[in-house]
Amino acid sequence: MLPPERRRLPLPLLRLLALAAATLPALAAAVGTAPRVDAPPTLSGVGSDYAYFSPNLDGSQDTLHVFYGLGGDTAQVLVQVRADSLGLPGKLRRTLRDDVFLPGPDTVRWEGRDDSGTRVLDGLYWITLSAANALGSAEADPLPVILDITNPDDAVTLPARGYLSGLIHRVEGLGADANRLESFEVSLSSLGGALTTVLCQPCLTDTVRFGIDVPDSIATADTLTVRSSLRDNAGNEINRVRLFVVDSLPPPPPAIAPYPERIERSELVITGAAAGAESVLVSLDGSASAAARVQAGGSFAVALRGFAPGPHAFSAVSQDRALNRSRPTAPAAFTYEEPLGATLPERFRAGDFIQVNLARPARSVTVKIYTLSGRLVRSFAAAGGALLHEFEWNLDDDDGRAVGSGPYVVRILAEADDGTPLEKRLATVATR
Amino acid sequence: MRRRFPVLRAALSALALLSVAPSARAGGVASPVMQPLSVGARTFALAGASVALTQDADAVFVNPARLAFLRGASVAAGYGRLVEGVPSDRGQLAAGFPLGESIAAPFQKEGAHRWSLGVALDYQRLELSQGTDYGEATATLAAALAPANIVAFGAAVRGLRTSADLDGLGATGAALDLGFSMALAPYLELAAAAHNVVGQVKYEDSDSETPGFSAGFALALTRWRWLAAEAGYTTAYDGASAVAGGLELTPIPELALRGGVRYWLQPEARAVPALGLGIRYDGYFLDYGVQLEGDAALGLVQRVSFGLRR
Repeated sequence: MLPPERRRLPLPLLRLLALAAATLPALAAAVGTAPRVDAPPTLSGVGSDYAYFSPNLDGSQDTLHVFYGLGGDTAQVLVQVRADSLGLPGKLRRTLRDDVFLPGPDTVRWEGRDDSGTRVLDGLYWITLSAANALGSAEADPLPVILDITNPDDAVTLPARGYLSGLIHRVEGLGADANRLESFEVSLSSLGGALTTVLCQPCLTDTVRFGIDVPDSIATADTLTVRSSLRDNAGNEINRVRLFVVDSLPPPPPAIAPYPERIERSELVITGAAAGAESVLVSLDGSASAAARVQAGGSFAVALRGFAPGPHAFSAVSQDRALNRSRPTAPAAFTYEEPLGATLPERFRAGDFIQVNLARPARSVTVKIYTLSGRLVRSFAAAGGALLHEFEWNLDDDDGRAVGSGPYVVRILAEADDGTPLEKRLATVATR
Repeated sequence: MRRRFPVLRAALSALALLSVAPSARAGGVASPVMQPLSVGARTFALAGASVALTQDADAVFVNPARLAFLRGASVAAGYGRLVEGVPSDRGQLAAGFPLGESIAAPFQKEGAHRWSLGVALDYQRLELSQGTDYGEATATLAAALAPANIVAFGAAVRGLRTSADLDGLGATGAALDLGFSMALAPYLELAAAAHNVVGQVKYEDSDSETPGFSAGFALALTRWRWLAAEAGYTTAYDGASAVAGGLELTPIPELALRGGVRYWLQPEARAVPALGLGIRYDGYFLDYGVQLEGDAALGLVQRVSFGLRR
């Protein structure tokens, strides 16, 4: 047992305890200790004004209002916005309310921003509500809300372009929104009349396809106006107008300007005029060959290239912006006379010939055969006069030695009577 | 008794062997396929005068011994037209890899490795007189050995395959190239390369032939950082011979101006000048070369190359 002087508390400690007993109630009142309550809280009537909202300041469904009723007694109410996590409330985005309230109905607003004031992304969010006091707590079922500030979109797939040949008898397209369309309406109109079709309101799917048959009264007009109006569940709305020009009349055939009927280059430029056309298409020997756009004044120039020596024929058609084509012009003939032509086998064997054809007699004709490294192997020369020259090569070089198998370049040079140098290169592979 | 200057004796022996090879091979029919056409734009701009100056993966084609003097791994790709007026082109891809530690001396400008390897692929295509495409493709494996940091020997084995939509133009072949390079002084390089030393080419329905031999000898000067020059002599299986000189000026490290002339002595006296330029940055290069032959055998021929050259 302790001695009596040890059981008695020292005087300074007694004074400190007495001071604490006197000041603690006042301190407790000052820091807001929970008031006395008589019943645990309850939450009822939880809901929002929209299941979808679009805080984009367009005046439609810009703010979400969350309603609830607090019952029981005074309680701490916590209302939060959480991101979606696999169908359940996930990461906290915004605390809308965290304070003590007396029982009664209340409303909380969310303008689509997080606690830092940044606009949150489109998607599914959960509003969670809970209340608590000294006698208990209550929690409401999370409330799902979809935030969507993306406009719906639409497309007209038929007609596929702005200018159409023939009559329009059907307009096809689609409208879509990531979070379901609320309404989709398409109107067709022309000088001949108007047709409005409400495709859906409300719509049951995110994408709505449509195909509208166009009455002749509308289709026969020159311009068809397609207006589309789409609105999604979050209040986002677009209205579009598309114009399709109907042009079913083909342009007249192009007028071909005089052209040389005998040419010495593998190129012929055809010029002329094509009224009311956007382009001119030229076919050479029955095959489509070249095309050119018609200039502002109606003139055009089309170049044909790469054709073989000999006679050829071409014809041309005009094509307008709606792809209507004129009937072809009558076939026009020309002849390509190669000034310097040559024929030799692709696989060259000893004793084969190199034939040189001239359009006009030349002063001289020379044939030089090189390896691919540029080394001269064999030379032939002939005086001019004849139009056809033949050179026999026995696969030997200028010193009479046999040359080996492999690729060679045959270079043919001629000097025309007027002094113009003519030159041509061809390749062959010699095999022994 | 110990022999003096073993490396120099070996080098002189290699040169002597290469110089007598054409006469030793005279008499057979030699094919012009597998000629060393697959050179990059730098070699092209120097008119081929880079037997001793080649300093990248192009050495697989030009002189395999020069692989020993790469400073590091090198890759080079090139493209060019074969003949003006004939639809034709060629392309190549080459890589060189030094093996092991460097044996270069501290003052040595070039790299030097005991062993180096190189690989290359190339193709050439040309349209024949009546529109048929003819193609040749080769694959090359090369190696270089440097017994000392100033001398190297190289060898390259090349396989060939041709193709065409025409009977009789399919061919296969193989050939061996040899190379030698030696620094006579820190700024003077002697080199020799022989192409198609041995080999065989056979077209369908034809007898086997030897691929056409050619050999080149060159002396290169690299005394100053801003100048490199080479002079060389080339002889070939068909009696053709040429001298070539090339000059590369590097006013700034990023830009090289090149020029060269190849003067054919046989079978016809003819000069083929060439020009080009190269841009280089951090080891990566882009080269361009063009032949400016007045009386052009193959017309205006241009090449472009790019890759990595340490």
